[in-house]
Amino acid sequence: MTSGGDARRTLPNLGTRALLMLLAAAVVSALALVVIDIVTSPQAATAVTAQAESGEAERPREPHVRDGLGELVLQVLLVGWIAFAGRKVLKIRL
Amino acid sequence: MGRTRFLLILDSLLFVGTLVLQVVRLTGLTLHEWIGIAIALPLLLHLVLQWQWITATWRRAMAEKRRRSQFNFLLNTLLFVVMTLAIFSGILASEVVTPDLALAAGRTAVWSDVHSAATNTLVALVGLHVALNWRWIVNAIRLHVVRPLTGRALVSGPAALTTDPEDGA
Repeated sequence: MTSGGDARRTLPNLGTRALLMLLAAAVVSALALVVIDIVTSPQAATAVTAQAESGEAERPREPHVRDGLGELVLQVLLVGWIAFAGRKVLKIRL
Repeated sequence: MGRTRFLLILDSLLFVGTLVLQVVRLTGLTLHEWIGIAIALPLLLHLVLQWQWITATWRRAMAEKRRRSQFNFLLNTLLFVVMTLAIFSGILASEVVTPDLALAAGRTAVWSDVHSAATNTLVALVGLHVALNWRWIVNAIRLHVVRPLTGRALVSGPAALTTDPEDGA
């Protein structure tokens, strides 16, 4: 059973850990911003913005549950296969 | 609620959420974007609650130079980076929830491409993450799902549900 003292010691720890993780996520995001800013020129950015507008139809705004469920089953099978194959390979290699 | 049961529910939620997010057609764009932002919270909780496991894996990977721990740590770091990228690029490519932010950042299609690449990579990494933690997952399901349903005793016992980094496939 956790005593009150343990709980008091644990809660600030959880807060610190959460802040550290958020900080790490912020660093990753900032790096991504900088990299994308460097590798895409303003001309390309303009072109891709126009491309984005034309590509809006690719993302369905309304749900299509029947089609989506079929795709979800495929995703589950894919992850399951990767996990199964990964387990076999990692057992041998590690 | 016990820690293992809570972690099993949280991890199942994350797993199902990650898979559902792969299929925009299932939820539609609006729900997809909201789930994508909301998943950051259980992800943060997952990381914070597994802190001891993370530090133990780091110790084993660096000090004892165990290959399995080194691979595990590298995989989990990659998973964190790719998940962060997927959420962040999703926000910057958003059309419904944060369109103003996406417009202000510009390069919407680039972020959309980054988002697609990150989410595709995520599926492979999640599969490997499941593979490495297979024993924990199977034992947790036996203890908290199968056992209450069937009333049968555990084969490997609750001791198998450790947070040992070597307790994997």
